[in-house]
Amino acid sequence: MQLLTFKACGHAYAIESKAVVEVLPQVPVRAMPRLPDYIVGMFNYRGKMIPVVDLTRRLSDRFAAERLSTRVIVVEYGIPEGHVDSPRFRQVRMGLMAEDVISTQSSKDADTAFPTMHLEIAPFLGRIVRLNGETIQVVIVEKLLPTDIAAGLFTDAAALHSQ
Amino acid sequence: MTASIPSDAQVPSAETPPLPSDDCWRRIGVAGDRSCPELAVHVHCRNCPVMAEAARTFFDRVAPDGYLESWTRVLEEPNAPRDAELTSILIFRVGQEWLALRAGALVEVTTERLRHRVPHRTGGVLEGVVNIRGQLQLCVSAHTLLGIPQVSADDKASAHTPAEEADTAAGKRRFLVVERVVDTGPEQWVFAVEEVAGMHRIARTEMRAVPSTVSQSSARFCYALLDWQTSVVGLLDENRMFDALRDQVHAV
Repeated sequence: MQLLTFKACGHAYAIESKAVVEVLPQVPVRAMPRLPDYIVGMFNYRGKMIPVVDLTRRLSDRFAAERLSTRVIVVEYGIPEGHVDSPRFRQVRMGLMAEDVISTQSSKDADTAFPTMHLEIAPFLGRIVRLNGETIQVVIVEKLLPTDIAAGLFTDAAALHSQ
Repeated sequence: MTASIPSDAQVPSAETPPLPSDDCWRRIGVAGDRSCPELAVHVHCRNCPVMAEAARTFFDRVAPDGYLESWTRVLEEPNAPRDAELTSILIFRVGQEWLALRAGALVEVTTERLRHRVPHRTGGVLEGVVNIRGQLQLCVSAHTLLGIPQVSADDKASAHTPAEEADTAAGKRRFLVVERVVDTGPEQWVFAVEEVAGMHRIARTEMRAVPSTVSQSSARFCYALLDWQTSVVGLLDENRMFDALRDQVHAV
């Protein structure tokens, strides 16, 4: 499978490219006060406001640097509709700001060096792969936002309004 | 004093990104004399880690003023609902006429091959049968069906310009295999075209209506026209075409 790689504090991470809609430059965002600081704000993506998560901040102690190689990866994934255990899913979009978004790499299942951890403190940490001598950790896009925050940012009402 | 001016001019301004110290791809790579031994491994400089590293350096700088703001404006615009409106078509040439078929009706484009005449059945629109992947398919003449003059052996002989000769020699002629699924199952036809210009995605808005005054018989089979490069392309209605083929071949 294809991985879109990026760096946070010198370490390589990746997200699975099947979730990626588009890769954009580091566009200015409108701040969202009182939210966790890794949610740097929202911006108007094709006529729809979407939240932006700073992956550098989510994965380390600092924010993404202002560089041309820092980009916003627009991803799309399904969240349960209505309540948490709902069997029905709705597609939502979110921007992920990440440093060194330069290349993609192909990985096979056999490259997995360590399976997904399922940790409560960092549920977004996926499996670790070894590729071309590099250790890359896959970030699980669906689990980057805590459930309650995701529910607030991706309300059904917001979806109805913007359709 | 005067000697210092040229060297000052060499100093890159703040806006220009610093070029990597060694732009080897311009010297010994694909943009140079191709003498780099790494080319044997990577084939093209874009696959080489040296260029990847240079790209990394290039992007490791602050965005120019106004660059990100201009992106904000671009991204605010909703995407044109183009996906729903786009049609894929295959553009090809029959005789001197450029025509197109919906990609959905196309099975394959293949090289021209021997047509086997069918005794007592060949003539008119039916040219014979051809072997397509081990299956015998009816080969028809799009020229006859659409009333477009055949590029005959005489024309080939009288090709006066070298370009025309090259056109024939280059073997641009292809067979198109087209299909439509009817009640009785899939129905395939094969016909020869002079040239195939590839698949194109066009928006519905690019199509215009066929003028009702056009009397050419090929216009009977077209449902729209499209301006493409310097030519006008007729978009063939495959159902009308298939119906006509059935009638004419069965009537022989």
